[in-house]
Amino acid sequence: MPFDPGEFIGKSVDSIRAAVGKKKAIIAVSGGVDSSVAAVLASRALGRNIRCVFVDTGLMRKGEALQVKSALGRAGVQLRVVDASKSFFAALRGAEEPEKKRKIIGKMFIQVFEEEANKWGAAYLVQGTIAPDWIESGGGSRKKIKSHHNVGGLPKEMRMKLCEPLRDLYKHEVRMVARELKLPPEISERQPFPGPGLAVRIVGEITPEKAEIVRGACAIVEEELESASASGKIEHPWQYFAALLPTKTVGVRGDERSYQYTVVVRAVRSLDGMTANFSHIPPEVLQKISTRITNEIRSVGRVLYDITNKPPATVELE
Amino acid sequence: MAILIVDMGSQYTHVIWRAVRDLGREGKIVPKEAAASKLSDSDALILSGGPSSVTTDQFYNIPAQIKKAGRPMLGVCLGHQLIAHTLGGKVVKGKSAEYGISKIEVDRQGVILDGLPKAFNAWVSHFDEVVKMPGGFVALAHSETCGIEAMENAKKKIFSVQFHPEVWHTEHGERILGNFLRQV
Repeated sequence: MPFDPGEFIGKSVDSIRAAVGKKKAIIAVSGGVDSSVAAVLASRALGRNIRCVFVDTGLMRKGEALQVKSALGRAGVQLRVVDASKSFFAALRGAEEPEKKRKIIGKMFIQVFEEEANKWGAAYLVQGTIAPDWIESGGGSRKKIKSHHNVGGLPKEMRMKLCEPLRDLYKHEVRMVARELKLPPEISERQPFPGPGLAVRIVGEITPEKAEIVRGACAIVEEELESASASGKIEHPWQYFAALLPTKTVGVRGDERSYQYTVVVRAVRSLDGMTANFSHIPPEVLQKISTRITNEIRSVGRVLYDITNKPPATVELE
Repeated sequence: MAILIVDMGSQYTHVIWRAVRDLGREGKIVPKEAAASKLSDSDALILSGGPSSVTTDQFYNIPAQIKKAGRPMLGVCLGHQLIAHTLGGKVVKGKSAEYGISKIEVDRQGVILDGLPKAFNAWVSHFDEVVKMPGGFVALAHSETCGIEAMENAKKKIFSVQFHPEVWHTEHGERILGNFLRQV
């Protein structure tokens, strides 16, 4: 039978209740559709015994923490926001290799969650892990593509037990559940955003300055593609963002030489994130994006559009 | 009884499970090492893709055991190559790899490609390819870089495709999987 979100909700609430029992749990919420759905299911199952924690890593999009707090508030989920941005940047200093970065982020997340759990006496950590997260993290005869922070990025020894009600679901199915749960559209239709946040959109070493550049570029890509989609110029992409390359190239600005960073614009069509193709964006829309990025962000001198499908690429750059 | 999905390490093994469920059948994923012992509990088998190569890695001869047990089987990607390799065909490293989109040209529909148009876009991810089919098989489709994109031995109910019918990007993938499930 095709996936039935109503039936799923009932079964899932029962199985969370059976797994966690009378113990307390915390849930890691990023504001994306996966963790928000998991939070609502866990709240239904556990009532007062669940606490929702949002970690501000300093690698979130523009205004994200506030937006998420208010959208989830309207869905009846009270968020506890923990600002851990300083310790995330400190832990990531000097790390260039994507897998190393992902492992550091996974470890940092767990540290914050364990601190929160200890304060409150929680024995379980509920996560919005979905199928592609554990599939791509590898296991058995399946090769690792990347360590998703909530699976392959987890430290080997963890005090809390994991509860992952969405493990068998893909993004389009999670959205069906979100609509069935009557979550606001800014959550149910929210484009995917990776757990490690902007960290995987900064190729190479992460600094607060680079995070600021890519945050600005992502906001421009989102604004322009959302407006092009609203006016019917493009099919709304499944995921769309900017990434920063560590490569600088030469340019000329106001009759002077410039030597600045390169930004990659990526927009893809997909259903479940397992396969993807690059969105066919008209040149005038791309032109507007490149003009805005290079005019508004001084340290970017060149903008590229990524025309690679998945496979052979992945959606994010790291 | 369930459709056994033999996991050879594909990124899409669980997607096959989802596609089988969406078509109204119960699928069950088993690791490749456990497939032989579960044969009697299955209606049919789907061999997934995977990262290994039949040209260099040791493989269990699953296809011959399934054939002997008389169960319908569908091979996908590495599964397609394993069927060719173990039943008497030949697999080699291709001249060119194929990743992402590929235009599949249908030379004859047979059972597994029944109802498909002359050409359609499919998603592929491979370097090895089947260059010689086992006895009793007919070739059904090719692409610009790969000579045998689909083959079948309809009498024995053995079907295989080099591309991935289970992923959303492959056009008519549901139809192909449906054609297989109707043989069960």
